[in-house]
Amino acid sequence: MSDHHHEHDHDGDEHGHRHYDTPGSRRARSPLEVRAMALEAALVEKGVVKTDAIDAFTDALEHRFGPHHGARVVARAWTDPDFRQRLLDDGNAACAELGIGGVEGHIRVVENTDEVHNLVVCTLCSCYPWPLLGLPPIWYKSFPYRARAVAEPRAVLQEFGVELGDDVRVRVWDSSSEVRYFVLPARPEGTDDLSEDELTPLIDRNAMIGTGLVAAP
Amino acid sequence: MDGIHDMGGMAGFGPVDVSAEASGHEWWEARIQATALLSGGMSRPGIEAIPPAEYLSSGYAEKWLVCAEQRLLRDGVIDQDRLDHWRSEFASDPTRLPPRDDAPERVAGLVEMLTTTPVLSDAPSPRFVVGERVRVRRMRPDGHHRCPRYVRGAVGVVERVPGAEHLPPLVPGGPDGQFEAIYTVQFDSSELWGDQRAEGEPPFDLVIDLWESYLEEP
Repeated sequence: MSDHHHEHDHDGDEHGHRHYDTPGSRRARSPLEVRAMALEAALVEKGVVKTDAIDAFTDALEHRFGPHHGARVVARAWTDPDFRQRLLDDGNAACAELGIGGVEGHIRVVENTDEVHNLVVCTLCSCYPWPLLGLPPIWYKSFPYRARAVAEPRAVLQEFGVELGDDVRVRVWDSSSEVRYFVLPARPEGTDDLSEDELTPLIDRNAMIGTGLVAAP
Repeated sequence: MDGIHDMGGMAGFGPVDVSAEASGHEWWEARIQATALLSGGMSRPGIEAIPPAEYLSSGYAEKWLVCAEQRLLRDGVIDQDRLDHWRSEFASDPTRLPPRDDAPERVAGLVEMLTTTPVLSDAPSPRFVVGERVRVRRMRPDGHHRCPRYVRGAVGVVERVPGAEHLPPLVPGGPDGQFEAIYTVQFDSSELWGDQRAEGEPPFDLVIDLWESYLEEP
């Protein structure tokens, strides 16, 4: 994610940034960018929404939520068997222990094992566990992923470089209600000596969607 | 409505572009999502009402933008002439920004809401129990729904009863439907796609949440 939309506001926004990349850039705007800004302007001048509310919501989507939270949850589950069990039993309560939660986040955690590999998709739109993973990557929202993950998951996984043994059963979760699915990946072999803090940076977003595996360092 | 958005199982889109990483490749994408949600302009029925050709040719955030514009104009929340005015301003002057109007006393409450996990209500009196076989009804609903075509008619097993939700509104801005149990239902892939499989694609499990109205005894 680029950082260029955090230009500091010239009129003294107390939150420090304002999420427009235009001040000072003086480049031509794209038609969609113009439409998006016009919609905001029309809503703000009518008093329908407040600018700082849009700022705060955007900040939550881009920064407050994100895969850094998901990775903390996974690393804790790998190093604390009691937490792992609570996480599988009640994802929301366990995440709340770490101060993690939010909208689009009624969490059900599904665990990868030697026998089962889980893969998450939303065929109807792009439902995704925002608090744990932030906004979805473009490929998650793409038509090929939405169309194929439920019909030929191994072919899709191969495109992500994930090869599974014949003895592994793939289980695909199509997010259709308010429940949001989150994959607890398998802990890689050879990491028994690593601490929770050392494990956390190994865990990338795709592993928590099921389109990746966590590799040992 | 059985629209273009119901993509599960479709062929012809080609491989997944796994390198398409960034959450919002344009700075305004997350911002328009926030704006569309805060203004009440975003709704799934609204997104799904976008005509198929336009749906396929539009980016994800673009669909949120189109949906919000149409809904807010239709409901008279904003006016077309003001939208046109601002578009002209922002297109012609790259330094021009939307007007700013803050309510800082409300921001903490908003953040609290955003970071509070929604609780699913317990299912009032679920008709099916965990382990029970269920069939997805054949249907062709007029309005918005969350029952993809590819599971209809298939028999699966209730894996969990996570709670209850209202059936989603049938039309943009419409009232929620009946409050009823949702079921996490697991299917064998052969039940969905038959036994003829692509090479390297052994049987797998498909799990999806379905409202009670979508299910019947097998």
